[in-house]
Amino acid sequence: MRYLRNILLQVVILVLVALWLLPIYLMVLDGLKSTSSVLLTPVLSPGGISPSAFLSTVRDLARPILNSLVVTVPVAAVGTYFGALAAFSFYRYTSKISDVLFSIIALATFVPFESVTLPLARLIFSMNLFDSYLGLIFAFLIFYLPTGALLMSIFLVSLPKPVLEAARADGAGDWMVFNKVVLPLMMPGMISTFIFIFIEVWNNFFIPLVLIKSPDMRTATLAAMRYIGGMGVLYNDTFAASFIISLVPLLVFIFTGKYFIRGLLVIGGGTKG
Amino acid sequence: MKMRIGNSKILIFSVPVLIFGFILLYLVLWNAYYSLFNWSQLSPVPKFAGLGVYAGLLGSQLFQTALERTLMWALGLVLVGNAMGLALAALLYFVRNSRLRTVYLSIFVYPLAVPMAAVGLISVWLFNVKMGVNVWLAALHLPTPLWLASPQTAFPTLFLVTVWVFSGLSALFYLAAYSNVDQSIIESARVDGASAFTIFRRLLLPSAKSASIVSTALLFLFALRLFALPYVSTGLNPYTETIVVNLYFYYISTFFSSSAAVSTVVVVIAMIVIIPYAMYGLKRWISQ
Repeated sequence: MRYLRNILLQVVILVLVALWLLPIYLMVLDGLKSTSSVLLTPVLSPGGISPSAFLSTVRDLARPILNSLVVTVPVAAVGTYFGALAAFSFYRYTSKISDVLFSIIALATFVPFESVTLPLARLIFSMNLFDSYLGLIFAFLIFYLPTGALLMSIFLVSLPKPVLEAARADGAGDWMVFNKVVLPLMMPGMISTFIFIFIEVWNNFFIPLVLIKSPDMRTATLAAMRYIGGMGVLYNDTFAASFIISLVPLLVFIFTGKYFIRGLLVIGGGTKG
Repeated sequence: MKMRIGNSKILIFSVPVLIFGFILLYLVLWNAYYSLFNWSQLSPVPKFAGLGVYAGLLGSQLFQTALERTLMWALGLVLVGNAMGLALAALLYFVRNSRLRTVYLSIFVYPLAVPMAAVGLISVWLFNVKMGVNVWLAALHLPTPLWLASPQTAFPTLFLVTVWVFSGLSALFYLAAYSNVDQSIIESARVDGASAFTIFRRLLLPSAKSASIVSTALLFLFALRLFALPYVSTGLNPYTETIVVNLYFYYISTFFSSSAAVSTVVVVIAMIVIIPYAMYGLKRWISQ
């Protein structure tokens, strides 16, 4: 009976897993079809193989992917580091002021970015940063520095307090304590936060849509729009392009997902210590 | 218990974050302020209009649809996403091999890493009436819906896609909560002959409270931020069935004060629902 139930469990999970892997299957299968077979075979069925769609979209998306990297890496790094710094200061100095400041940070995290497009675009424009890397980075920092601080505050709770106290007793300054004691201990949380911001910024479509104009400056997600096709044309390119723009965040997830998940498990389970 | 009150000088550490946080609040207040004026490309000089802009919005059919869709989407994603998360996590909990469990969990979570724009592109073709999943459904003699091509099914179709994207994240939080349940209690329940379902209902489910707070807050946040998916897969035309407030906002961005008002509505929804919720949840952790 238990044996049977185990098999049933495995079957249900495998069906769900297959459902979850379907998009990757589609991106690879249809991205590799030749232009003629893609028009003749249904989306889910295999057809003639040709690397042409991947080759041409890789060539066209190389620049946008570079643009995305130039913007995403600094935002994730700055958001994580300064987020941790702010989280540390709220944690160390408990008072009405830091409570209010912390609430403002939490509030800022939950403002949907679409809702401030107009003033944001005007601000970036008035700073002469429209259609530039710096403008995009600045705009993303507005949203993801508070997010970084909020996430790091949650992770900071799991830090063992005696270690901090001991470092203080040795006469170490706050700056020293942060860089030499807190940062190393907070690595799992820092990595989670970095990955979260990286993936969110990479995948963001809206902010570059509003703040970028010239084709050379397009980010990966924005550039992929032109592959949507119409009237049944060009759709091996659609799948190849989807795969290529997903590749960087997916690789980040595959190689660091362990840490990402471990960090999030801390949030989900609450803290024990 | 919190640590003893430290030196206030350490608040300097939070200055970079605060600067950007205040810029964001400034942007939100800017919207709220200009939503009280009559201002568009047709009337370039802002004129004070009180709540007139809001009255106009509430009377607009498109805005009503957009607001309704957004709220339905958010509410639906919170309900269905959490239910799926609870269920997926329970399935994973009963997988004995821990390495296999991690692999499955990663597979359920990975859609979060796929750009919504890519998800939209794939959806367009996966749900294509002639070439997509209908080919298989027809072969199995199952009904073949029109998916994105019909006003009645476009919204549910995209809704299902978002459930697919986000329920893995929810499952992750619930699995974490389940894992905190004392293993020996589960074992003794097993020995007493309790079924997996009983263990789930009596032992695992009660542990899920704090996980449900995080999960709900994030699902709601993601639902309010939805833009790329409906934009890429259906756009505004030919149907307004999948329109969400954010899309509507994009549509009317030439009417400055209207869009400022729409934005303010979105932020207010976010604040009313999510802030007390998130703050309550966060406070509970942080003061643990």
